[in-house]
Amino acid sequence: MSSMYRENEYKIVIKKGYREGMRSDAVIYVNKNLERFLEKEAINQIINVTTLPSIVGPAIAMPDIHKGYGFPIGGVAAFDVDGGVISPGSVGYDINCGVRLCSTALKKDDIKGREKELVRALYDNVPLGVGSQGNIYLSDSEYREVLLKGARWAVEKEYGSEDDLENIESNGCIKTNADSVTKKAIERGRSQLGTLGSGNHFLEVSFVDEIFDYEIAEKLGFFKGQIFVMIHTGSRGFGHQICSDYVNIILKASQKYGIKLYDRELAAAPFKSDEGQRYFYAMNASANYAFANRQILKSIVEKTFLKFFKISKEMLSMNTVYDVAHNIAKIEKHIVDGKEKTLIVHRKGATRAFSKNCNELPLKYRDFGQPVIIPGDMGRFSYLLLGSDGSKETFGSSCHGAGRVLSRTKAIENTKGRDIRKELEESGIYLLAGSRDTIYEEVSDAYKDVSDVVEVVCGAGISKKLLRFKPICVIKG
Amino acid sequence: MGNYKVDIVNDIEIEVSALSVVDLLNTLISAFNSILIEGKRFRDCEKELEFENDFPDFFVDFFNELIYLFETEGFIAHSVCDFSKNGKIKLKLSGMIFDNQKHKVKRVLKSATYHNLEFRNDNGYYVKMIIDI
Repeated sequence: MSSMYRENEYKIVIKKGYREGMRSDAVIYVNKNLERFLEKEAINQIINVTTLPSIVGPAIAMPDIHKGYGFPIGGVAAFDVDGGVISPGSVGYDINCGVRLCSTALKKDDIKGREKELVRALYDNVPLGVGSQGNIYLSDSEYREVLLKGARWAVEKEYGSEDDLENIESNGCIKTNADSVTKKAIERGRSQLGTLGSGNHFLEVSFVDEIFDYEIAEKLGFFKGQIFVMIHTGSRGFGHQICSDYVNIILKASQKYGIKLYDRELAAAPFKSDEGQRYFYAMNASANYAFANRQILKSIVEKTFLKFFKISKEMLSMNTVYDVAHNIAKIEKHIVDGKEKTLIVHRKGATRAFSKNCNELPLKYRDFGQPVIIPGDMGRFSYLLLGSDGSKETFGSSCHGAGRVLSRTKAIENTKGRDIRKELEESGIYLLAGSRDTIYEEVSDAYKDVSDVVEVVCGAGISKKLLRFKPICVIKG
Repeated sequence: MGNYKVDIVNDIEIEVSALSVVDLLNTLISAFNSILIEGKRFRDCEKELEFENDFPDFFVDFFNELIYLFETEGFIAHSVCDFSKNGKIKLKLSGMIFDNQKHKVKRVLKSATYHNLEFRNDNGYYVKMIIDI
């Protein structure tokens, strides 16, 4: 059998030995339809990941895979905590870039005719856009609290409520210390807490367009036409700087520990080394910054809705459904060859997707599986999935979004002469963005259809569909 | 002054060439500013900087310092007015502070990366790097 072959409708396997230096197999979850978008460089990158020391199991690529810096976006790789490595490039520059999904008691008809006003109200109230500054200026001691407490800090400052915390991955706070956070990262993130950012970061108001499992939806209180809010953002300049600073440090450490790199951005150090531990704690501090950021933004959106609709908090019932990270490295226990192992699981553009009966999940999701939030592009659907048993094959991981297929330049070229905002309005989607370029770069044509991506992870048994959302209001930086 | 080319794919690829290192850095500054802001740049203030890494990693560090200075101080570089390389690299940057009456920010830059970094030093200087946006 060839060393690279299609194992089934949803999976391509690249066997160890296909290329020099591979220590394990690589697996790409992709169907025939999406295979045409597979970039050669992305395939090379996932193969390069298999060359890192003490990799456990295969390096895994989700169907939204595309080329990144060293480690492909849409990639998952796990290493033994005892002998394995940690790699900043395998997490990404936007540490804990992720998504918060909130339900409300509102229905689609409650917004009808007022979409333009609502999107304007959100645009005016949510700090976003290029170089945006938030309304929160942190003293040194408060800053430290954010990095240690994450979303809990925000709740203590009355951004949202305690109820939000149990529905955030890791309860919105990863245990860490702030000692290895660099001064530059602190300065860069100081005025950016509570801001959305730009590019593919967004805030979306949508409604439930389709329900795939009525029994579970009803038990969770979801209904057709229900209004949801989705917030996609991360650790802003703070996380970007941590990654920048530590890629430099870990590159030197790679040489020190004799780790051969097939790509400099795959720089890695032994997890238990001084450098590895310092990065791990700094990364966790960045993750906490991002959890706090999304908690604050949720609170700002909630206040905007309350003022706009002139209703009480109880009537609005904006509740956090779940909040997931898709750029992170986490210590998790997984069964490998029948034995439980403690691993450091790197997810870059991939979402944790634990199946049901997992103790890490909030009680209300333990019978169903972890909510997995999959944003589409601004013109098409987004999805809420649930982690399924098949995710045991992927270290409890699923896809994170649609994945680009057109470069930004091509997207702008292809849409010349088109009025994208008008086109979206004609399909019932109202968009405001901080920059004209963002609108054209983020057009639907530039992305894979997320429905195709979701079809693969569901077909492979990694996740299952629960809800599909259609956007009404979108704001971008 | 040198030449630069900016290509916006998923991220930004910058190619810069010049006859001298100072020209190369000034061209890199021009490329940086063309991506980041609209508006004129002046020499109102100066910054002294020091870098540990040698070529070619130095160019990544330099670009990242431009991002850092902009995001933390609103500093927009104009040009390099002093450069020395003796173990460490030291240089002086002239520039101005961002003024939202005079400038508009076009794009957020996360970091310059080492990914596919290219550097040549024959008949002048050439650097190609990828910027994450």
